[in-house]
Amino acid sequence: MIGKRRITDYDELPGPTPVMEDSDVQQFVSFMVGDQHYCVDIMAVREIKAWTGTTGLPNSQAYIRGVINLRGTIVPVIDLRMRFGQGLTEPTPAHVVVIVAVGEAQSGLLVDGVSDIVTVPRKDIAAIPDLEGEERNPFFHGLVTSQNSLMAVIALDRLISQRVTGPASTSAAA
Amino acid sequence: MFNPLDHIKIGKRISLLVLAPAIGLGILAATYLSGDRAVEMAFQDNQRSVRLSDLVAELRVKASEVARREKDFLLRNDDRSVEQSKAATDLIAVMLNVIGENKSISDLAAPTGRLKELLAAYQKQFGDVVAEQRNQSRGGRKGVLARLELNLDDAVASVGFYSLTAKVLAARAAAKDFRQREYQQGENQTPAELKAMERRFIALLDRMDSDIAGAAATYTLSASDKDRILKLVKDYREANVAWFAGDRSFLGNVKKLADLASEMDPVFVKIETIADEAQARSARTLTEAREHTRRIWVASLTALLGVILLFGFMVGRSIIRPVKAITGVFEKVAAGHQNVAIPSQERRDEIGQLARILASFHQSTTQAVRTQSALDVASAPFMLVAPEGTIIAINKAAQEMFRLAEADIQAVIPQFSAEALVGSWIMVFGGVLAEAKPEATQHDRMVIGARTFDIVMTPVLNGLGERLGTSIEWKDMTDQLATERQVATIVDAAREGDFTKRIPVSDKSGFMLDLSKGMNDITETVDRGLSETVRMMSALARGDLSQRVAGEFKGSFLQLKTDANTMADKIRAIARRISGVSGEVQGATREIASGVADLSARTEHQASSLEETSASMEQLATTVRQNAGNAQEANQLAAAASVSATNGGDIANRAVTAMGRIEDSSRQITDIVGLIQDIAFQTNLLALNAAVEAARAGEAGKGFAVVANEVRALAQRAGQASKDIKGLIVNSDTQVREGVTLVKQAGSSLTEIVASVKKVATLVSEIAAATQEQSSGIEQVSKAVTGMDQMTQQNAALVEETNAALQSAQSQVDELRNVVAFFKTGNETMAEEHRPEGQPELNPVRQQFQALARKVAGGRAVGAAAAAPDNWKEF
Repeated sequence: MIGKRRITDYDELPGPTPVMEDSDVQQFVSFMVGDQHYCVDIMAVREIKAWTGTTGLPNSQAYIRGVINLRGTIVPVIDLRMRFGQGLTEPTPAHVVVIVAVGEAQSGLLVDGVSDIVTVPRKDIAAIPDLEGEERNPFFHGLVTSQNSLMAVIALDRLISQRVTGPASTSAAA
Repeated sequence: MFNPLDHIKIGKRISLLVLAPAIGLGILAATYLSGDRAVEMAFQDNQRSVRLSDLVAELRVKASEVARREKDFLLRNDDRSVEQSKAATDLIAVMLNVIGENKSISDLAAPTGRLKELLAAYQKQFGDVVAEQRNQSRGGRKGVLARLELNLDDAVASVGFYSLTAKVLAARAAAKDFRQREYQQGENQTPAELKAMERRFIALLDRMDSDIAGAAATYTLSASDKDRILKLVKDYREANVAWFAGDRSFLGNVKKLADLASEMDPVFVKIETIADEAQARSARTLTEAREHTRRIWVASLTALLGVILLFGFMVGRSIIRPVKAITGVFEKVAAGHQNVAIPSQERRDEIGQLARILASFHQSTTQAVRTQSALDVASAPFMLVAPEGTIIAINKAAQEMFRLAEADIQAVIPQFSAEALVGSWIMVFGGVLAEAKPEATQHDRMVIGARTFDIVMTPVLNGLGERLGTSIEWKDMTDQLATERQVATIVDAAREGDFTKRIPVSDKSGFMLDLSKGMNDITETVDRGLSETVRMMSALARGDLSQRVAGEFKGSFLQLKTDANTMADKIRAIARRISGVSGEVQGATREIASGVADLSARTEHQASSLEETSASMEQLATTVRQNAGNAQEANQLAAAASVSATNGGDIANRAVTAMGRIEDSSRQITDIVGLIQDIAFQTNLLALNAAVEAARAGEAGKGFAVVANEVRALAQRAGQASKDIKGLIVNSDTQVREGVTLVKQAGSSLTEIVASVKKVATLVSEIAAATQEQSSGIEQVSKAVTGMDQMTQQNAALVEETNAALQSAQSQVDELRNVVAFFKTGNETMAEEHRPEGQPELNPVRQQFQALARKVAGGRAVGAAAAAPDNWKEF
C-alpha cells in the first residue's frame, strides 16, 4: 500500500534505468548489516543520508520502521536486518538510510553503515547456488566479489514489493 | 439430743404409732382416686379420635367410589353410574359436615371447607360432562351425521353414476376412519396435537368436497340434482365439523374433571394426616396419664412406708434407750459403786419415776457404806464386842496388830488365832476382859506373855440408851519399854568419852526405831568429826599440804571442817604461788635471751641488706638519668616527623587538584574529537551521494566521480584518526583517575601518620617528666637508707648490754626455786617444768650468736629469720 503511494507534483523521478553499460561493467553501492556485506545497483540509489529518526506507522509490517519526509516525498523506511529475519536494528546517528527507487516508488533501507562504491565487470557477477532443491532465494540477484569480501546483490523490486515466503513472512503489497 | 417424745407416756406413744399409718392410708386413697379420674378422661378423648380416624378412612373409600363411578360413566355412558356417583358425592358432603363439626381438632375446619368447595365444583363439572356426552351421542350430533350420510347415499344413488357413488363412499369411509381410529387414539393428546389433528381433518373434508364437486361437474347432471348433492355434501361437512368441535370440548371437560379429582387428593391426605396425628397425640396423652398416676401411687406409698418406719423407730428408741441406760445403773448400784450418776430423772414418764426412786435408795446405802469404810481405815486398833461377849468386828489396824503379836500370845494362850477372832468369844483373852461390860470408859494395862497391851473399853449405846455392845481400843506397849532401857545404856557410855557404842535397830519399829536411830546418829557424828580433824592436822605438821577434812558435817563440826580446810588451802596457795612465779620468771628470762639472740641476728642481716640496697639505688639513679636524655631526643624527632608528614599531605592535595584539571582538559578534547568524527561521517555521506550522482550522470560525471572518491578517502581517514585520538584520550582519562585515587590514599595515610606522630610525641614527653620524678624519688630513698644504717648500729650495741643483764637474773631465779621446793602441794609436776635443764641451755643467747655467725659467713642471712621463734615477728 505504501509502495503505491505517490506524490504527484514531484515528477523528476526517472524510471528504472537499465543496468546495461557500454563498458560491460556495473557499479554498486555496498553497505553492511551486521558482519554481512550487501550491495545494490548504484542506478537505483537516489540518496544516502544519516539516520534521523522516522515517524512510526501503526498496524504495519514489523520491518517497516516508519516514514520520513524526503523533500516533500513520503518515503517508507525498511529495516533490512528485520527484513532478513535477524531481529530489529537499534539505530544510532551513525546508522545510514539508503534511499532507493523501484519504478516510481522510493523506499529507504536502514543499514548499519555504507562501505563503498564498487565497480565490477558484469561477467564476475555469480549466480546464487541452489541449495538442496530449495527455490531460489528471492531477495538476491547474485553474488559479487570485491576486495576479498563476498557481497549479495539485492533484488530491490522483490525486496520491496513482492510477496515473499520465508522468515520475513508476507508483505503488504498483494 | 432432745426428744419430744420423752415427755409423753409410753401408752400414748403406742397409740400414736397406730394412728399415723391410718392417716397416711387415707391420704393415699384420695391421691389414687384423683389420678384415676384423669386417666378416664384421657381414655375417652382417645376413643373420640379413633372414631374420627375411622370416619376419615371411610371418607377416603367414598371418594375412591366417586372416581370409579366417573370412569364407569365415561366407559359405558349409562345413567346408573351417574346416580351412584351423585349418591356417593352427597354422602361425602354429609361426612365432611360431621368431620368439620369436630370441635376438639381445630385444624380440620380449613381442609374440610376447601374439600367441600372442590366437591361442589366437581359435581357441577360432572353434570357438564354428562350433558355434553348426551349431546354428542346418537340422539344428538351423531344422529344428525348418520341421517345426512343416508340422505347423501340416497341422493347419489338416485343420480346413477357409479363413479360418483364410489367417490362419495370413499370420502365417507375416509371421514369415518379418521373419526374412529385416528381420533380415538388421540384421546390423551395435548391441545397442540389436537389442533393439528383438526387441521388434518378439515383438509380431508376439503379434499372430499372438491372431489365430489369435481365429479359432479364432470358428469352431466341436472342443475337441481347437482345443487342438491352439493348442498348435502356441504351439510355433511358442517355436521362433521360440529361433531368434532363438540367432541373436543367434551374431552376438555373430562380433563378438567380429572384435574379437580387430583386437586382433591392432597386435601384428603391432609385430613387423614391431621386425624392420624390427633389419634397418636391422644394415645400418647393416655399413656402419659397412666404413667403419671402410677408414679404418684408408688411415690406416695414409699413415702408413707418411710414415715411409718421412721416414726416406729423413734418411738422404739425413746423407750429402749433410757431403759437400757437405767438397767446399767441398777447393775452398778447393786455391785456397790458409790459415785454413780443416775440419768433420766428429769423425764416425766414411767422411766423418770423409776430413776427417781433408784436415786433415793442409792443415797441411803451410800451413807452406811461410808461409815463402815471410815472405821476400816482408822489407824488405832479397834474391836467391837456384842453385849453377850462375842467379837462382832475388828478393824484392819487391829487385825494387823494381832497378826504381829500372834506368836507371843500363842505361847500363853495356845488356842488363840488372829485370823479367827471375829465371831469368837472375848474370854479368849483371859480374865481382864471377862466381863467387858463397863458402865463408863475404862483404861487398863494387860500383860499376855511377852506382850504388854494398853486397852480402852467404851460402852456403845443407841439413841434410846440401849446397849448395843462394847468398843475396845488396843495399844501394844512391848517395844516401847525395851527401847527405853537401851537408850539409858548409850547415854552412860557417852558421858565417859566413848562414842563407839550403838543401839541395835533391827527389832524396832515406829517411834522406837526413830529414837534409836537418832541416838546412833549423834554418837556417829561426834566420832567422825573428831577423827577427821586429827588426821588432817598431823599431815600438816609433816609439811604435806594436800590433806583435807573430808565428809558431810553440820553445825559446829561443819565450822570446824571449813576453818581447818581454809587454813590448809591458804598455806598451799602461798607455796604454789611462790613456786609458779619463780618458774615464770625463769621462762621469761629464757624467752628474752632467745629473743635478744634473734634480734642480734636480724640486726646483722639488716645492716648487710642496707648496704646492698644503697648500691642498687646508685645504679638505678644512673639508668633513670639516661632514660630522661633519650626521651627528650625522641620528643624532638617526633616533632620533626610531624612537620614532614603535614607537608606531604599538602603536596598530595595539590596533586589531586592538578589531576582534576587534566581530567577537564581531556573531556574537552573528547568533545572536539567527537565533533571531528561527526564531520568526517557527514563528509563521507556527502561524497557517497556525489559519487552516486556522478555514476547516474554516466560518461559526463566520470571526472566528478574521481573527485568524490578522493573526498571520501579523506573523510574516512579523518574519521579513523579521530577515532584513534578518542581511544588514546579515554585511556589517559582512566590512568588519570587511577592517579587521583592513589594520591588521595597517600594524602589520607599522611594525615593518619601526623596524628600518630603527635600521639608519640605526647607519650615521649610524659615519659621524660616521669623519669625526672623517679630521679628525685631515688634521691630520697638513698637518704633514708643511710639513716637506717646508723640506727642498726645503735641497735647492735643495745643488744649486747641486754644479754649481760639477763645472765645475772637467771642465777637469782634458780636460788628462789630451791627454797620453795620444801612444800608438797600435791601438784609438783608444774614446778618441775620451770626448772633449768642442764648446761647446754644455760646460755642460749651465746649459742644463737654463734649460729648467726656461721650463717652470715655462709652468705645466707635470710635463712636465720625463718628459724626464729614464733612470738618474734619479722620486720
